Amino acid sequence: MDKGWKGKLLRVDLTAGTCKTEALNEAWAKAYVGGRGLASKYLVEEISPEVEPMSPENKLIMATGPLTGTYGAANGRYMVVTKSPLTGTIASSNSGGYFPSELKYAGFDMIIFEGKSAHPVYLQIHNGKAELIGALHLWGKSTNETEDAILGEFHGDAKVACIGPAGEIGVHYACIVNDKHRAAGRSGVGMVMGSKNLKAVAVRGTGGVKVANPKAYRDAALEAYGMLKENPVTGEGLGALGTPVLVNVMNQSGGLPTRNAQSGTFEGAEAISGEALASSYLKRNKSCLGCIISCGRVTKLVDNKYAGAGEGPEYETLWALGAACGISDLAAITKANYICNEAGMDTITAGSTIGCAMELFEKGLISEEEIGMPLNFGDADAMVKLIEMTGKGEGFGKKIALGSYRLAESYGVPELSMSVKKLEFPAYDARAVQGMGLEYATSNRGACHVRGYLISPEILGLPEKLDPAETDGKAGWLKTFQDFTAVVDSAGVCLFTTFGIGVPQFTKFCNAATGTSMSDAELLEAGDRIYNLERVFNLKAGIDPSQDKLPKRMLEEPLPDGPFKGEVSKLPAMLPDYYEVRGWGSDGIPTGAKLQSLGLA
Amino acid sequence: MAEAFDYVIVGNSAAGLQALKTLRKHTADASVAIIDREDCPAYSRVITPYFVGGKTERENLFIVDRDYYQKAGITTLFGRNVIALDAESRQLEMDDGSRVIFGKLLLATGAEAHQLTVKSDRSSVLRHLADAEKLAELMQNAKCITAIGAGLVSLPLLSHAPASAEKHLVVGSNRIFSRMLDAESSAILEKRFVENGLQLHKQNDIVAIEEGARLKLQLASGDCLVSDMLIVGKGVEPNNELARAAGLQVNYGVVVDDYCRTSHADVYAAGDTAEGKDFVTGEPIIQGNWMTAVEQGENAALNMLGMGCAYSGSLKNNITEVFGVDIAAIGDCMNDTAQIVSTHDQTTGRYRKVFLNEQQQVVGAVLIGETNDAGLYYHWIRTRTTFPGKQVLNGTNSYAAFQQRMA
Amino acid sequence: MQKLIRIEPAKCVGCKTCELACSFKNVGEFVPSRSRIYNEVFLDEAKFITVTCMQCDDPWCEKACPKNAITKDMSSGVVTVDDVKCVGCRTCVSACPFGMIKYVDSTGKADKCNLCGGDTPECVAFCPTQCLTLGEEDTPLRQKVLRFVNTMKDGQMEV
Repeated sequence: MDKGWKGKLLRVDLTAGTCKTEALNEAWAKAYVGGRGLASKYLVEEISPEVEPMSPENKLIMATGPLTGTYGAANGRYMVVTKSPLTGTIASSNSGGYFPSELKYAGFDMIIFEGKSAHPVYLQIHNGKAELIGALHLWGKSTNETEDAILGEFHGDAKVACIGPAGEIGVHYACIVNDKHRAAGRSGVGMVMGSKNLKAVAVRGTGGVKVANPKAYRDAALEAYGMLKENPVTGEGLGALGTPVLVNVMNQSGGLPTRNAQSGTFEGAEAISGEALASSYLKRNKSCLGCIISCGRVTKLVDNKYAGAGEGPEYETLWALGAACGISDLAAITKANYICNEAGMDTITAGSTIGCAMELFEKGLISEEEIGMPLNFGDADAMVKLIEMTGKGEGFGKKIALGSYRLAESYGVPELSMSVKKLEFPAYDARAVQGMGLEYATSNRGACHVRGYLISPEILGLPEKLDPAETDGKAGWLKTFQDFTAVVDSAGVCLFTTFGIGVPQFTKFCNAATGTSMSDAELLEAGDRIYNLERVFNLKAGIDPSQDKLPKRMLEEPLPDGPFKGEVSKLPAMLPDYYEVRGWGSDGIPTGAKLQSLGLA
Repeated sequence: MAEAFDYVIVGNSAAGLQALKTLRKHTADASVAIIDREDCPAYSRVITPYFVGGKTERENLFIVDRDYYQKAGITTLFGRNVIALDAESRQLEMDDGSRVIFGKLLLATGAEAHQLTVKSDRSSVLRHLADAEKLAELMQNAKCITAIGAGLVSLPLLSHAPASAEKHLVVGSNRIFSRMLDAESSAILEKRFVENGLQLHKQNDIVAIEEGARLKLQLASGDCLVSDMLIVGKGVEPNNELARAAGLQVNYGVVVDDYCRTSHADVYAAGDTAEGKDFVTGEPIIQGNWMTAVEQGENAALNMLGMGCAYSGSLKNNITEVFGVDIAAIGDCMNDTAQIVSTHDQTTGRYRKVFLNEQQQVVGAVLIGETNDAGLYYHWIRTRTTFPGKQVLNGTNSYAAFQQRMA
Repeated sequence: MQKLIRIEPAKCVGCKTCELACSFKNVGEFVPSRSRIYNEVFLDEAKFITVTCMQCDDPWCEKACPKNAITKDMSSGVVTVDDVKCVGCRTCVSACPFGMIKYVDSTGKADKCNLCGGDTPECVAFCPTQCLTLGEEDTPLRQKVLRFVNTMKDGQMEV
């Protein structure tokens, strides 16, 4: 099966302390592509949807795709799939860097972690051999320290994915950080890893990835590289300014949710823009393996009250730790970003939760005594301090660690959490970008932007310009985007490539790599299959269609400023369309016929 | 009957061949002769263990073919022995009574392997082509192979032998590679070799051999090893009789200065017979490795041409694979330096160690497990580089790590 | 004119596409450990260093080879290992001061960059930033190395 896929998965029983190699289920690999889709299939087959996310019965799957470790677009990604402790939905968090490819080079498509270790351990993989090693000496260490320690004691060329203290102490949005600065960020996958007493995975692989048709693969790669180079976003924008290019764009569009989404424009946007970052702390841009976009921001804080070095902030981080908290201090945001990376927690939920706490404080729902300091919008020092406390599990940080929904709910105002299915939405206001609102409401892991990134057509005009205020036709667009994204995530490729290349390129890649002869339609159908598989899991997990909603603020409080002043989200107008184009009943439940047609019944 | 040549080289191996190449690179018309008692083109002593182990063909041992000398305009006197050297009259006396007159002479006569006092037809050292042929034949049907001496003859040969054969090693000292490696490195290797099937008999010796259907090797410990063949790897002795009889200064080997010149201005020596300066310690030494012979052969030739190039000294540089383990030992790596920095990875078995002098310069290195950047360590020692820091030991691409530290 | 791969470190983004392209062409699979060009990423220092064989004028590996298996083509400048002659003794590995000739376990031979044997080197063809270009040189090695180190210093200067 050594074509694209390595054909092997590693099953690690943490309770028993054993590692076993298994053949990859070839039929599933074909039907679910790999990565997100294939791991979801394994998860659905192996755990009950009702499982308690933090229990040993939950499993944690790290999965690469058939294209991971090759060239062609930005083929260096993997997915972490588990049941999320933050949302209760199926979680799949995606990351790039070098670790995912190294896993393939070591001979594995996937690792399934099950059970729970009695004491902290980490997994060492060296060319097909795997062993659990005691990790007491690493417990409590930051992600940076952990990686350094492992490189020193294992192998200097190893690639490491690990959790920081946030994952150990149960921050609900703890992430898994690899290659120091890349993160499988959202949904709290790091919290699940921590619950299993698994500190890190270190991989060294000197093998390779074969493809079925090298000539066709090379041709596909040349075509894709050419298209990515010519595209203004992937060829220029993301390389020069990274994702922060969007700060000014979204602010001008009136869709930069500010001060816990109380408005859609931020007067401090310019100070936290990609341009501001490029002219201050940015040292250079950086790529993940096989990527020609190189959006990574290598930054360093110098001669400032906040010192440090690392990667980021990304756009969503600038927003979460910036606009969402009314903060325009770029150094403070960058510093808080570093702290999040080192503690191992998602900057979006962290920032949004602090923004929520700021509103609760200003509304008098939380006292200064309880927090230990005043917490007004715009207070950069307080934000940095609170991020630090959260990563360490200190004081009020323990409340921030719960995420905005649980926080706001505990003060009786869950509607002040800017989240769907308990996952905070990121840096696009659903009232200014209608399609994005539909995505938040229907995404399988809660209010997420990277399951159907309609910002691409609605704001950036790719592949064609849509009116962000329009609701008509958005459901169809969203379905296609969601299905296509499922394919991209499953193939092991970065979503950013889709600004420049489309389904035909992915079809060529997948066929040349795995030796299949799928049509574009069949590949997209695989995406539909994956989407429905996740949906059914969520329904069985008790996340019923009534959860396909938006915070009250998005639906009832008109935007007070910007080009879309006076607008609210028109979700109720779009949702029935969406269910229909998905082939689901009007109740939002996939019909038997639909599931049957996808082979899911 | 006397033939006269501008340059005469005695010995057709690494040093002789490199000298010949160097001479021809710089002079097209000078007359050059090469003499060797073996009647064949130059073959590679680095490769003979591979041939014995059946890993390469006999034809592949030869570095050049006979045409090579002819095309280069070199007179070959192969299958001929030099029996006397008269440095003053610049003459060599040959075994057939003829004389060879030289302008400049290079002694690249190599070394001979130490024999055991106890002998058998099913035993051999490995020095010459005939030895290799004999060992290769013995090894074909051997079910049990014993070697004595734990250096770069015995261990690679045992390692190259068929996996099905039982393998014994008799060692006089208390550890393997005692002349090549520090004690810690050799202990790590010893463990790996034993895991891979080597049976060790340390602080022991073979005192008697009883012939029969199989050899019975009586050990000093009183044990008896029943074996089908015996490999003798007890080190070598430089071929220095010619120089000694000619009155040249001879210590253990033929003493040479920094220009590879012997005590006589027209006579040079290089390779396993030449005793020159060690690069690190400055002490006289015979390194006995291929690279040193090549470097000295080249240096001697340049100086025979009057180019006045000083040789900075020889350096130990061994790289090989034994029982599936890659090993490189470079420079001074015998534990007595000012500082040692090491890293050992238990999972991959990878081990690296550098030896530093008081100025923090690299003077030696041992690499086990991954050796593909060994040349960089050799270069660091040669250029007296200050050790760039422990992190360069962790990865495999030391050159990039080094560049990063410099940039 | 002799050819070699020119490297401008300032343009590197650490994507390792060169390693992927090299191994895909020369080994037939994506296997960076078998690449003949090395793109090393130093995360803490945010430095990306790419190194490959400089096709020396007087190659250490050629001189060291006890089998005459390594030769330098005087017209193209390319230093090549003859797979038939190579026995895999690794002497060349211990001689190259840059670590740019490697022993490969699976083939039992030494392996090094041969500039893709006359085609445009695959790493150059695929490098997304023109960090790698194919240059023509007649400069002696010492100057090549010196210039490389200097470019490295310039290229790594912080903006």
